[in-house]
Amino acid sequence: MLIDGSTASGPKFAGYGKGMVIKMRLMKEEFYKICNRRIVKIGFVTVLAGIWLIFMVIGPWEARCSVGTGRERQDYKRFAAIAKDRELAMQFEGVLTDEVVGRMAETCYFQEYAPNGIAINRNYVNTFFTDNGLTDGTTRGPEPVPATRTVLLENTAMGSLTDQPVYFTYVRGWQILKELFSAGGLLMGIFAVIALSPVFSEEYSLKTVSILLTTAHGKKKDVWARLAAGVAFCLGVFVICTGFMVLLCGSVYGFQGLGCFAGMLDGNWLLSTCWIASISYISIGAFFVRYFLLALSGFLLLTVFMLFASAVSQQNVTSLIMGLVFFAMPVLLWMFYEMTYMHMSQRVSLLFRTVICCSPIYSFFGNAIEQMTTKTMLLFRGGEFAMIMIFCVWVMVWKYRNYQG
Amino acid sequence: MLTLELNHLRKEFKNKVAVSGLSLKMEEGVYGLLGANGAGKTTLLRMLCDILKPTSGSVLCNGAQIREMGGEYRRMLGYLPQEFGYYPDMKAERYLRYLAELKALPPELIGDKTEELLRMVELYEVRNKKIKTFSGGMLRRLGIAQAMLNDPEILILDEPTAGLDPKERIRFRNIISSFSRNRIVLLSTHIVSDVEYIADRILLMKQGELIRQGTLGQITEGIRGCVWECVAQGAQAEELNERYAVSNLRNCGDKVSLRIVAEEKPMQEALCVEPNLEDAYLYYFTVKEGVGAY
Repeated sequence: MLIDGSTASGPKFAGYGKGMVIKMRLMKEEFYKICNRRIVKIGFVTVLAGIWLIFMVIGPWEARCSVGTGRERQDYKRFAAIAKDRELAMQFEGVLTDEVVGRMAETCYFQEYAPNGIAINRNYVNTFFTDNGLTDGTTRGPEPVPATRTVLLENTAMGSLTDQPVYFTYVRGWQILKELFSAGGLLMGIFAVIALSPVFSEEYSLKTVSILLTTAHGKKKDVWARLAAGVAFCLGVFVICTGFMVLLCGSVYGFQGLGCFAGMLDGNWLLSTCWIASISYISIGAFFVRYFLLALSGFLLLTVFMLFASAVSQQNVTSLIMGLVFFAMPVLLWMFYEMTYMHMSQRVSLLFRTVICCSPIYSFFGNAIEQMTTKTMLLFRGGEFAMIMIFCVWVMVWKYRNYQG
Repeated sequence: MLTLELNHLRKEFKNKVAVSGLSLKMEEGVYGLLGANGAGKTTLLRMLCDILKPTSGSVLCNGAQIREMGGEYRRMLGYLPQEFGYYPDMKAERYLRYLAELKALPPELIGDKTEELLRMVELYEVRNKKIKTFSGGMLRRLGIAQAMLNDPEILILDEPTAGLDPKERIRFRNIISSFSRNRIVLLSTHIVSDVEYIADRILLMKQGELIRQGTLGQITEGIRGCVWECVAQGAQAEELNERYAVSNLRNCGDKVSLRIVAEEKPMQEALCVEPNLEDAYLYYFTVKEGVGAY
């Protein structure tokens, strides 16, 4: 019996379990606690719904395709436009040569512009050869200049990025994915801030910390289990949301083209991306792997910062505010940096820019991967990322373990 | 034999001394800690639980510093804080299972142990209800169950019977009494009768210091000759009530029967009676402070 006192002898259960097994069990419990909150359940569904909505708005809802010219022109909208664009593009699938570009122009015509500068016979194929500078016309500048002829591939930005043959296919889905991920990443970040703000601070505000810190694992293993659970939670959210975005884009636009040259996404944009520009050839698939890993590192940093904020805050709302400020900091810094002289020192600014700003989730605000140089990425990002991580974890562990009420 | 030793334990908060160089040796048995609000009881218990770090002094368990023992000490410990924290949206059984994991119970024992404790505190029927739906008494019982999850050798209870009805209190006292064999149970409470019934030794704490300790007999022996019973008319009773510490006052027709704690005989007809723990509490916490009325 429990209450008869017969089992009292020495430290109990001392031989039970070792290291990882115990931590895994504790992590499972902490993971359950994070996921079981109503706001997390509702928030997660909201994030997925938000991603779907953004996808529909920037994808199918906006899709337009025009085939032909003059009176023979046929216009398609939304899903019909996507299907027609795909059909057109697949006619030219294969290695992109000057001869193929010429056939594209013959079949799909050069873009014609209304007085307000909007292309009236726009489709995927003619947008591709226009935007990538494969004609003598341009859509950049105050007014678009209509094209009259195609130009040699080797003289274009796309051609200058790679000496390997460029394979053409329909990759509109991956272009949408890049835009979608910027907005979806924001939703994921805000969700992570909300979901992780109570991990430690809740224990203070609910006064459960007094009990937890008197348990065998409460002061040591459980702190690490919380950290692991927070990271696992964010990894899970990241993988599910990113997977959802890839699936959405792939299911509507098709999964083809992952092996194509990443310049197909936007040759001019890619040219300004020093990080990737230093690599002679990169496929769309490889580009997205790097893009997602970069975002994941930013997301992990946010996760660890949130756990730190939670450990140093007595109330959930305090850690929530800290998290939101941290999350918005790159955007605020960028705004002040660009708009006024109130920028922080070059060093601090660099730290934020290297560690946080380059995460694609901030590209929504224009301060993103595109602005980073290869040197900055390689020299500073790793070290500063590690420094902030270590500082946050150290303070988090110390603060929680030494809670004095 | 299990021992818990406090050596010159002191805790200061900014300019306030909460516990002032307290020394005490506890062996197996039930210890009742009595003291007024702000006496430093909770601070003392939190230091014993290794939550608060003492400003100076040490706590030794079987001769070893509890700070150095770490998890080994906490495996032996069960604690019910004054303000019992819980997760409102968690179910009672889930809550106990969670704490069982933290208390390092073997996985194969967790199910049986939680069921056993839920039955013991009569919460088994509501084990799948969210804790936020529980009454104050149910919460307290859940708190007692969690403190006993790991079958602790040192059980520290801060105001465990607050919010319990008389039946629950009696049940709780019986649980503690049967549980206390071969263990150290330290019980802090305002309810003197709880301590009177179950404590083997009583500790009286005042302004961060231990002013008296001993068995019930030893504590009450100290105020022998200071407890009086008398019957007085209304106006006289009022005067006595103003002037002395009155531990009991009862109307008997047009007269009033009083039980007075005082070093001097309050009135000529007063009879000296056997002191009890309430009288002792009153004596040490009001008469000794020079406060007449209670």
